[in-house]
Amino acid sequence: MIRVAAVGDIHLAPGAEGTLRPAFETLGDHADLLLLAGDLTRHGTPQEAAVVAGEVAGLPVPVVAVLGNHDHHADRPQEVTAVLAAAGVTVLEGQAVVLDLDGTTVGVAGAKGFGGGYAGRCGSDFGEPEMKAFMRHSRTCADGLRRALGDLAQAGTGLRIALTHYSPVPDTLAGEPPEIHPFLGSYLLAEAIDEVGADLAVHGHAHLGTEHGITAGGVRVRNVAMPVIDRAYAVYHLTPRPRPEEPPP
Amino acid sequence: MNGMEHKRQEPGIGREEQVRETREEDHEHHEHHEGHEGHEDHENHEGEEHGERM
Repeated sequence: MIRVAAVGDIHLAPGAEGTLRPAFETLGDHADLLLLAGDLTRHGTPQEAAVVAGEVAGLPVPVVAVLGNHDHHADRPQEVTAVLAAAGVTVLEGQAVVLDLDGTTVGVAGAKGFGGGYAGRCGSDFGEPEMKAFMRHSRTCADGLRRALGDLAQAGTGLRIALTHYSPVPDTLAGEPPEIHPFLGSYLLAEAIDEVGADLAVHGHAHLGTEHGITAGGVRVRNVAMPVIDRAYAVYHLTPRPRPEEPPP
Repeated sequence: MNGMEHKRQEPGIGREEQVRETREEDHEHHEHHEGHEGHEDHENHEGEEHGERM
């Protein structure tokens, strides 16, 4: 059994030092890893990222993150990533990481994702250059997630988790005004998840949304935005697939 | 979150400041949240007692 702790949208900045650290220091008793689903800062400055780094540095479990739209606001995502990486956080964008935990391998595929909307009410790559660029970015993010999940499938990890900031499904947006759903996620992310398959999909971004959802392909989705889960982190218990039989010597 | 709901309430007026104030209210809420079964605030959080089995 692997225990996955997850939270997003913690929106830290100078002045908030130490607000999450006491909770995170208990992670070793309750979880095997911590996922951060983006919007870790308020405006995406390295100074704000340093506050996040202080909350998670040296935790007893590995920490894997994606950035969110707030973490891009200052146009310094590389610097934010570098500050988090220096604190031991693995920051993913169209990439995967494999963790060896409790005798099994846990793969996390991460991408920020983007908006665009869901079946029947989504944007399309048509019209003005700005609209095409919007949808192109959405597709690029989803393609990155697909490739990363594919790498994990190829590696045969015991668990496969999709980590995004934007939501792959509308289920977990329940509570958000429907008018802004196209800014909260994209069906392209769910297509990527269902195409490769995953044991769990975790996202944030939708503060007024709902924790539980599922993709059309049956992958469980959890919105872990802190205002939704109303605690420092949620924990999900996953049973890994058995390791393939090793050939006899 | 992109603050769209705040933008709708006060179109184009101090949107970022409103977002920041809302965040502070969120944190204040967490700080004063007494917690209930399975939910702890992040000030006094002592770990997740019951994870969701999947």
